[in-house]
Amino acid sequence: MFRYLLRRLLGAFFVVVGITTFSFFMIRIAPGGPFDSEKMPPPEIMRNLEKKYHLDEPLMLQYARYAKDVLVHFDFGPSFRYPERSVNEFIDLGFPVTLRLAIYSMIIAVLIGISSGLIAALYQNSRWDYSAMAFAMLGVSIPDFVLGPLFQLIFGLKLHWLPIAGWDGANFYVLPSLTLGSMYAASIARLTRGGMLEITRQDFIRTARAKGLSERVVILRHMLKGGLLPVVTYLGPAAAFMMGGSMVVEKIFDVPGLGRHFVNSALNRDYTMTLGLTIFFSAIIVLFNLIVDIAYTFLDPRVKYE
Amino acid sequence: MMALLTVNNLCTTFSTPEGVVRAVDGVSFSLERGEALGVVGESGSGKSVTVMSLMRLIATPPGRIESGEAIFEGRDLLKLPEANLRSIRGDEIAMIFQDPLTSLNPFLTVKRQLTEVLETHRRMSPKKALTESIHMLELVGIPSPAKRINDYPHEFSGGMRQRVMIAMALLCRPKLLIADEPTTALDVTIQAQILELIADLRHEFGTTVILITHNLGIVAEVCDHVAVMYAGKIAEYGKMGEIFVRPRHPYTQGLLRSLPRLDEKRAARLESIVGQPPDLTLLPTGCAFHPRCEVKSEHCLREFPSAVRFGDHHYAHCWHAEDRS
Repeated sequence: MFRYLLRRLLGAFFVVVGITTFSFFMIRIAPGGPFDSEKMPPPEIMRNLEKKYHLDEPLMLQYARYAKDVLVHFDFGPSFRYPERSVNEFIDLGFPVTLRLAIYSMIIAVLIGISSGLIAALYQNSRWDYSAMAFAMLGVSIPDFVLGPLFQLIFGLKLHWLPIAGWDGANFYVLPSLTLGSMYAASIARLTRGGMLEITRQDFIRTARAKGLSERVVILRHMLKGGLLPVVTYLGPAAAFMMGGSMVVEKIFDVPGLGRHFVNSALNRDYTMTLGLTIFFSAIIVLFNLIVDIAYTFLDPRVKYE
Repeated sequence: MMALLTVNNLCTTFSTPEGVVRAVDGVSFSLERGEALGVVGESGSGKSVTVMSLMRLIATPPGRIESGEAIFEGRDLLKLPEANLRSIRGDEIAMIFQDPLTSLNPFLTVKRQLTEVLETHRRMSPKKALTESIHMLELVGIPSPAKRINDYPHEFSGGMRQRVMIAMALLCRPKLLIADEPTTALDVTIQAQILELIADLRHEFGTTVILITHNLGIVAEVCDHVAVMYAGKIAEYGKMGEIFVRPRHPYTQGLLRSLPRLDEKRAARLESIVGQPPDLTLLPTGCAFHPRCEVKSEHCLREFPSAVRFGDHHYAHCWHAEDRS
C-alpha cells in the first residue's frame, strides 16, 4: 500500500510536469501578449517590461526558469496584469472561497443526488422513479448559466428571499451552491439509481433475501456499499471539476473565487496567472483521483494495491 | 405421517417480450420428513423456478406465481404474509445456490454474513453468534475457522466458498434445505467432497433436502426420490431405484442412456436425446416432449398425458408409459 502510494505520487508529479510543459508552450502559441492593448505602449517601455519579466530571453530558457520556480519553489511568479501581486497571492485569497463554494455544492449534490437516486431505484418504474429521473434529466440538461440567472430571478428579485450576488455570509452562499450543486446532483442521482439497480440483480441479494433478512438490512447492509461505488468513482473528478469549473457560477453570482481570475487571465494573456491556475487545478484533479482510488480499497475489499 | 411440504399445481409465469412464458406449469409433489428429493432436467425445464417460487424469491415483475399452494407444516408458503415468510426463510427453509462466488456478498466478511442469520432468527448476541458461526464453519470442514471467518469471500477457494454457503444455510438447523445446483460451478473432485458433505450433514441433522441438478449421477449419490422435469412439468416421479432401474418416461430413459457407463466397452458412442430443449414461448402441443420422442403417437400431439401410476410413489406422464419397461 505504501509503495503503491509512493508510485502514484511520483506518477502524479510527472503528470503535473507534463501539464506545466504543455500549457507553457500552448499559451505562448496563442496570438497576442500580456501587454498588448488598443494603444500600444512605446517600444522602449515594451522592451523594459519584456526585460523585467525575462520575455526577451529564448523560450527554452524562460521555460527552464519557470519550471524550476514552479516545481521546486512552488512559486508561480508575479501576475503580468497586476504587477504588484503574485499568482500565489491570488490563489491564497481566491482558493478558500472557491473551496467553500465547492464544499457546499458537493454537500447539496450528494444529499439530493443520493437520496433521489435511492428512491428512484427502490421504487423502480413508480411515479417517484419517473419524477426523480425527470428532475435529473432537467438538472443535467439545463446549463448553469441558465439555472443561475433563473434562481436570481425567482429567489432574489421576485421572492426577495436571498441576495442575488456577493459573498458576505451564509445566505449569500445558498444560490451559487445550489446552482453549482444541482448539475452534479443530477448526475449523482442517475449513477446511484443505476448502481443500486445493478446490485439488486446480483445473486448475493437473492441470497440475503433467502436468509430471511429484513428489507432494511438487505438495502442498508447488502446493497448500499456496492451500489454507491459508481458514485464514489464519479465524486473524485466531480469535486475537482467543481473547484476548477466554477468560473461561470462565480461570474454570475460575483463570487470572489479563483474561477473568474482564470477566465480573465486567459483573455488578458496574463501568462503566469493562466499557467499557475492551470497547474494548480490540474494538481487538484490528479490528487482527487488518487484519493478516490485509495477510498476504493476501503469500499471494495476485492481491490488491493501492491 | 404428515408430509413436511406438499406442493399442489404450482404455476409460475414470466412476461417476456415474446409473450407470457409458463416456466412452471402445474407442478405437484410432496416431501416426507428426512427425504431427499432430486429434481433433474435440462436448462429451462423449470427446476430452479419451482424452488424459487416456493421461497417467493421470483423477481416480480417479470415473474408471477399464478396459482397453486405449497403447504409447509400447515402453512401455505405462497399465501403467507411477507413478514411471516421472512421468518421461515433462512430459519426453517434454507437455500444453497449454484455459484458461491456470486451468491456471497463480496463487500462483507464471512463473519458478517454468517452471524447476521443467527442475529436475525435466533436474536443471538453478536458474541454468541460468532462462536456458533465458527463452530458451524468447523463442521463443514473449513480449516482454522476462527481466523478464516474474518476473511472476505474472494479470499476462499471455490470449494471452500461453497462450504461457507452450506454453513450459512445450516446455521439455524433448517427443516428443509434447498440446494440449487450446488456443485455445478465446482470442479469434479470438489463436487464429490461437497456432495459427501451434504449427505453427511443431512444424516447428522435429519434435514429434508431438495437437490436441483441436471446431473443424474449426483442424484444417485444423495437422493432417495427423483422428479424429472421437462418444459415446466414433472415428466416422471419415483423412488431413486425405480427411476434408475425401470424408467417409464421416454425422456427419463433418454437421460439415463446418455450417462457414460463404466461397464461398457470404451469405443461405445455416448447417446444423446435428439433435438433441442423446447422454446418455452413456442411449446409443442400436447406432450411437450413429442418432437424429440421415439415412441410418440398421434395422441401425444393432441393431449398432455395424465399420470400413469406404477405402485405408490412412481408415476409418469406418458401415453405410452405402460408399453415400455
